[in-house]
Order: sequence, then C-alpha cells, then structure tokens
Amino acid sequence: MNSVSSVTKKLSLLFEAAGYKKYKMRKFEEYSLYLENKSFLTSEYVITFNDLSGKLLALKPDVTLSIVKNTKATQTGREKLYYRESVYRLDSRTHEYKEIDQFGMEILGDIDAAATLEVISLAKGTLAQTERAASLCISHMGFMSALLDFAAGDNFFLREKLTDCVKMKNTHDMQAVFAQFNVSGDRKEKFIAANCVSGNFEASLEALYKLEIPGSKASLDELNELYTNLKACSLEKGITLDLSIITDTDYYNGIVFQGFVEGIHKNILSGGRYDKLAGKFREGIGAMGFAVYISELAFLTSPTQYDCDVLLLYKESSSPSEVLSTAQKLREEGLSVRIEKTVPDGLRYKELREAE
Amino acid sequence: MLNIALPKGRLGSKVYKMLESIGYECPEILEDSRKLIFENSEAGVKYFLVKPSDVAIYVEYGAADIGVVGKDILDEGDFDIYELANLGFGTCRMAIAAKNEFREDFDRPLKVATKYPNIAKNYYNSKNREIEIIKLNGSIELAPVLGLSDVIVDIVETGTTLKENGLSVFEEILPISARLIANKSAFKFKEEEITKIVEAVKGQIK
Repeated sequence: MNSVSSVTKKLSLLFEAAGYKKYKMRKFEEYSLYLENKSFLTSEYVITFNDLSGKLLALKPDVTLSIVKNTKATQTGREKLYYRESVYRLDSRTHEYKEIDQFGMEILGDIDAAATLEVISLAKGTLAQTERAASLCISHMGFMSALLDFAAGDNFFLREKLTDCVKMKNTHDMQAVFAQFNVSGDRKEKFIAANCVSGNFEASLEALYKLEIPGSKASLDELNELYTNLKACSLEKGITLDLSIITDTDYYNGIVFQGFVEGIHKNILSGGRYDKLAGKFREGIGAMGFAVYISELAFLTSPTQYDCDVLLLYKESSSPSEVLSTAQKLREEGLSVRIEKTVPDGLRYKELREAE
Repeated sequence: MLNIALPKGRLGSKVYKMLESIGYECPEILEDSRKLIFENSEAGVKYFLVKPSDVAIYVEYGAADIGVVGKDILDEGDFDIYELANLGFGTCRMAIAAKNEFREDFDRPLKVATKYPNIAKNYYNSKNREIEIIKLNGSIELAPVLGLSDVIVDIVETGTTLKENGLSVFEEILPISARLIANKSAFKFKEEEITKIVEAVKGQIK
C-alpha cells in the first residue's frame, strides 16, 4: 500500500478534482456546541478548558458539527467541503483520550440523487486509494426506522434491545427479546427476516421489498435508485446492503454507509445523510458526508527497512561543496542520502559510499 | 484461509469436533502438546488456542476471523463484533446468590461481589437499585460468607459450590451459552465462507 502521506495527497486531489473546497478550523470550539448535540458524537466525553474570559472551550471531538454550524448553504445553493483535521476522542476501551487523524467531506444544501451518487462514488474512490480489496456497506435509516416502528412501535426498551441485536447481526437473541416482550407473528418474523438479509445488493433489496414493511417503500426506492445509478457508472463492485450499519436516528435520516478495507479490523470510513442535524442549524437544508480514519491506514504500511538508501561518508580532507554536490546528484536519482563523517550507531542503510 | 480462535479447554475441544465434522479438520490440535497455533492449509483453516476470556479480543482486533466465546464474556466486555449463532452448549446461568438466610436491606446500597462488574451494574441500574461493586477475580462464593458482600453475581452451573458454602440462588440474570462470533471486517471479505460455517453449525444444533 502507498504510505499514509501519499494516500492523503491523493485524497486531496480526489476531492479538489470534484470541486470541493478545503475547510480548515482551529483546534477548539465552544463546549456548548457539543453539549447541545452530544448524541451526534461517538462519546459525550470531550476535553474542556476555560479561556481567560471564562468561556468554556473544548478540543474538537468532531468536525461535521463545526461545518454545519457555520454553513452558508441554502436549499438551492450547495456548499461542498473537504477537510483533514485532528479530532480528540475518548477511547472506550483504554479510557484515554486519543488524537485521531481524520479526512472527510460534506455536501450541504440540496441533496438529490446526483449528490448522493457523488458522495458514494467519492467514498468508493477514497477506499480505492488504499489499493486493497474494499467493501462499502450501505443501509438506510428511513428503512430501519420503519422496521423498528413496525416491530416495536414506541416501546423504547424493545427498540433499544432490537437495535443492539441488529448491530451485531444477532438474530438468535432477537428471538429471545421478542419472547421477553410478548411480540409474535408478522412483527417478529418480518423483523428477523429483514435482518437475515445480507450480501448481494440487488437480491437483498428484492428480499426487503417483499417484506412490505409499512412506510419503508420510499427508503427502498432511494436505495434502488442509488444502486441503479452506481451500476450505470460501473461502480457497483464491492457495494453491499447491510442493515447492521445503524446510527443515531435523531440525526441520521437517509442512506448511511461504512467502508472496510481488507487487513484492517474495523471500518475506516463512515458516513451518511444527516438532514436532521443540518436542519437544526439552517432550516430546510440537507446534508451528506463521510469521514475516513487516516490513522487506521498506517497499520497497513510496514516501516521502511532502511533509514536511508545511501550513507555518504566524508573525510576531514574532503571538500564540503563536493560532498554536497555528490549527495545532490544521488538525490536527483531518487535516492535518499545521509552525509556523515562516521557511521552513526543503529543507522540502517542500503549502501555505503565514501566521498572524495 | 479462515482463522479461528478457540477457547482452551473442554469448550474448545467440543467446538473443534463440531467444526471438524463440517470439513475444517486439523487433527494435530487433538494431540497433547503446548502448541497454540494449528494449521491445515488443505482445509483452509488455522486454529488458535487462547484463554477463553481473550477470544473476543482476538476476533475484534482481526487476529482471528471467527471464534467461540461465552455470552458472559461478551456481555461483560462490549465488543465490536458480529454474534452470528448461539451454539446451545456450554450452558449455565448468570445469577445473584447470597447466604441462605439473606434478607435484603433496602435502606442502604447493596454490596455486590463479582467478576462481572459491568453485567452486575447494568442489571441493578435497570432495577434502579444503588449498589457498591466489589470486583473479585476468583472464589467469589467466599465474599458473602465472610461478610465482604451481601450478594454475589456469578456464573452458576450445577449450584454445588453454592450449596457447599451455604449459599442459594436468589435470582437469575441471564442464560449463558457459547456463541459463534465474527470480526466485522473479516465478515465483509469472507462472508460466503463464514456464512457456510454458521449455517452448518446451526444445522448441527437443530
């Protein structure tokens, strides 16, 4: 795989070629932004501090909220942005804060079928930069909401337990949860049948249509339109339908997706449609985007075997200008060259040369 | 090549027999040795023998594509994995036990000794009961006997240990059995193979 820096350069080119503007922000935001939208964040814990005026600030745990807060997009005028920023989040396993290198893009404004296709194609393009087998798994929060409404109604506890099972593709415990809440018949059978659907996009979609879940047709039609467009652009390879991709229904309302790369144990890309969040800041606008966790890509690259290609040793009597020009000539050939008088301890080099 | 993490011990042997019968044989694993990795390239399988409580970690971090682990460990750990089948064996129950004569005092927090603090906390939170957790690593049954705790939250198989120490089960929290789990990313790239195993295993359970 390419190095992380070359992947990020390619990603910048990918988004710039699509006409996206680079977004840059400072490292902190007012804490109130995160407090008011804490369920949009992966963790409610953020690093806070007071400035000299007493204002409570936080090291940013997220970039999307800042973009949405400041957007000038309207229902007819779009804003297209990409960014590379560090975010600071609590690792739920180690209970320590981590700095995460994140690359991402957002479209704000009118999100139609063409915009949706563009986001998914850019997500595919992003995964392709890793030069590894990749899979982009897509779901629809509208469909999941309809399915949960059908099976659990407004029973909060049942919805929560079923959602946990969906995330883990755990259909056996779904049975137990339905039994615990005395739910049987179509509500149970169709919910489980929907969650057994996996893999091939077209076959999965057909199976979901057949279940005839009330209120789900518009969402399935949107998935169908997206897949038809992807096929028309020969972009359907590696796209699957996967209902276990489920995010917060308070903010996400449409297509959601996650990207996986062979060799990395978890998703490296995550995104979707979040009109509900965007609408809180600017009425009537839609929004869609994704983030890619660059730090994870570093695990695909092996450290270079050598610290430099050539170790160029000079003597007391060597002419400094000749030593430097010898090194420059080698560097022009694409070699990395380190100039030293003696061999440094622990330095790994491919070739040793002596300057005149 | 499918990488499978098996728990060391009786449960691991039972799961291996199950997988062997559906074509994932690797007879070397049955030999008495200290080896931890066993591979049969012809069958396209590599087994790792790991501590039962570590199976889910190996799977979550992708060192193993699939594995078999007890539901107690999954519920205690909150792992980011797929739980694809209930194997129906290795069954026992997570229960609250106390001294036979125990009567709960609702005027003060309940002292709970356990190896499973998250399961205990989640359970009592759902009941709005204030508790004080005492995390122990073994011989949990001693805690109420010596007055260290009011109750224990622990796995109960036959109940013999409880009985011999003058304890009884007061409430069952959840049934436990072995579960087949998969790494989320591995599932995307080996779905056909993993699904084949899940279906075969489910067929055997029936």
